[in-house]
Amino acid sequence: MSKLKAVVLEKSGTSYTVLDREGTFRQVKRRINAEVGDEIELNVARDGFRGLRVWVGVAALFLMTLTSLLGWNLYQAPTAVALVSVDINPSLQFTVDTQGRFLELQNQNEDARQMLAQIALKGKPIDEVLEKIVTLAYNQNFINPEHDWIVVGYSPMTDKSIEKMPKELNKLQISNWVTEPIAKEGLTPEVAVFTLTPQERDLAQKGDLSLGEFGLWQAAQKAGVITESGKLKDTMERVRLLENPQVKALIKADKKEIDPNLPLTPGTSMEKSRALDNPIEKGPEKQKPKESPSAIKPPNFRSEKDKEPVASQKQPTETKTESDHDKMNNQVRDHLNGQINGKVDDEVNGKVNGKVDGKADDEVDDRKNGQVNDNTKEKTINENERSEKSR
Amino acid sequence: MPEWEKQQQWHRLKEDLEAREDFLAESQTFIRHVASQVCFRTLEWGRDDELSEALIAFNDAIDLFVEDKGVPFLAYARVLIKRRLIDYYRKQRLRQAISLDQEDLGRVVDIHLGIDEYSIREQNNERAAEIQQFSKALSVFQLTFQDLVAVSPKHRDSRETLLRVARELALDPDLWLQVERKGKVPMQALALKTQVSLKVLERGRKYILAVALLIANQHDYVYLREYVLRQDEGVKG
Repeated sequence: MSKLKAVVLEKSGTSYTVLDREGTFRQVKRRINAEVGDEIELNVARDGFRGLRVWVGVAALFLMTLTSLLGWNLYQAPTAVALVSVDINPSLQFTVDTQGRFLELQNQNEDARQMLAQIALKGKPIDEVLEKIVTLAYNQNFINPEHDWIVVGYSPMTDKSIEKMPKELNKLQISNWVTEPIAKEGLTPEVAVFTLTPQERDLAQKGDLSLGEFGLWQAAQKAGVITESGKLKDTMERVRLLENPQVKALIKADKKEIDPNLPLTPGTSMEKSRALDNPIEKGPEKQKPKESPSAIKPPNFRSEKDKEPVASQKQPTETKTESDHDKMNNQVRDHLNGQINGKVDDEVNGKVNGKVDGKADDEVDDRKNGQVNDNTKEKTINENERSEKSR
Repeated sequence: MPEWEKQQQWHRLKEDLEAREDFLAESQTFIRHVASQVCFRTLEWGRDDELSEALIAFNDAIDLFVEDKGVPFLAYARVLIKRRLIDYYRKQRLRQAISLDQEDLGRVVDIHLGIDEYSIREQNNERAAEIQQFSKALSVFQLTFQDLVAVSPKHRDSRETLLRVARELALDPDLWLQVERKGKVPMQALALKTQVSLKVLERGRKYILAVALLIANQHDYVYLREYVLRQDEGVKG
């Protein structure tokens, strides 16, 4: 703004007609009582300032837009992109956002409820959350040399959220996160990490299984070890499966496939984890060809009361895949829930476990397990044929 | 105050008689113009006594003028000339010639108006008189102040171009004579002279004419012409 002298040429209503020192005839509002011929001062914006004002306006508009966008983003509740489960016992399942921060608990059993009553996890990064859970479990003697299995499962919430998932959420990294806190105390836990697809997550939720439990059930199925899915709620049953050499071999084989270039959080002991995964150090493992997840039959879904929902669980939308799975479920329920199968399973596992528990030579185990597996499969087929004929 | 007045060596004018004589000779046109306006007739040097009175008033104005006051010399000289002539007519009892300053008839006119006494109010009155005259001059061309507000260039470059064109029109005797005779701006000739496109000239025709009126009639618009002339473009009156 600058002052510009002008002479009043004409008075009309609420305005003056003036001639200013720049030679411009203008119409200005009557702010003071001036007569024709009086010289008054005008407040005018110079051309340069006009340009500046335009730029300031544009900048202000830009800032407003930016602030609004930032504000909107902040206002928006963080979206859950992945579901993570931890089964030790205690068992719990929680969601994480795009930044890998804890959002909310979805399920937890009574032990988890008691254990987590003391701490607040909301908003904490996932590594810190896992570290706290494992440390608390160790401190409360849930993890000890006799019981050192930690089963972790994770899955994107939807197919679209796969890309939004935090990059550090991978098997190797999770394995490191849960191993390190206890390793400091001198105990190296056994860790099984399972990655599930959103469809598998839906199946797990339908079957009231945690992601880890479902992953373990799948691994057992792949390994040819038959078990009832409902029994996976039982810690002893989980340990039994995890200690099964075939399942164990499958888990380790799965670990071997981990991309060593996956991003890691600084400060984690990569070497230790990789040493853990090294099959040479643990002895040769028998690997089975990996099946695609969709090829695996879903478990027998039974209602279990172990888990108490904390937050309202989302009901999966009805899809073609689900209806297929439902059909398969019924078939599997018919076949797998049969007493014969249960007997065969128990018999086979009993034999295998008896030998494995003695920690015999791995090669011998593998060979025998192979034979047993073949026999078990034959028996299972025969029994199935018999039951179909009887129907 | 016009630039030429600023450059004038007022101190030398007051001391050096020869310089004063030269300045009086240069200002005869102005003196005769003002005196003729007061007397409502054309005056001639050597024939009319009013011009001698006006010349004396102008000479007094040189003595009394103080440049630091910021008042245009010609405006001050004009007031002194008018007052002296009113006093002259009172003495001569020629009331019919007096019209502009009717209010002064009833009281004694102090012709020795000092520059300090030349108040803002009197300046405003002078300006108002100029504006009235300017309004009449515009009406001859069917122009009003409102028209000028509408056509007045807003952008600085356009305004400076049109001001330059108006100045060239006003100071070119041939072109200005055509304006006075025909009541129209000779656009083709002006375009040739100024090298400004006809389109621009046509768009700014009313503005050019109004400004040229102020510049061409330098003795009538001592105050107003200062608003359309840049400080470094002052034209000696």
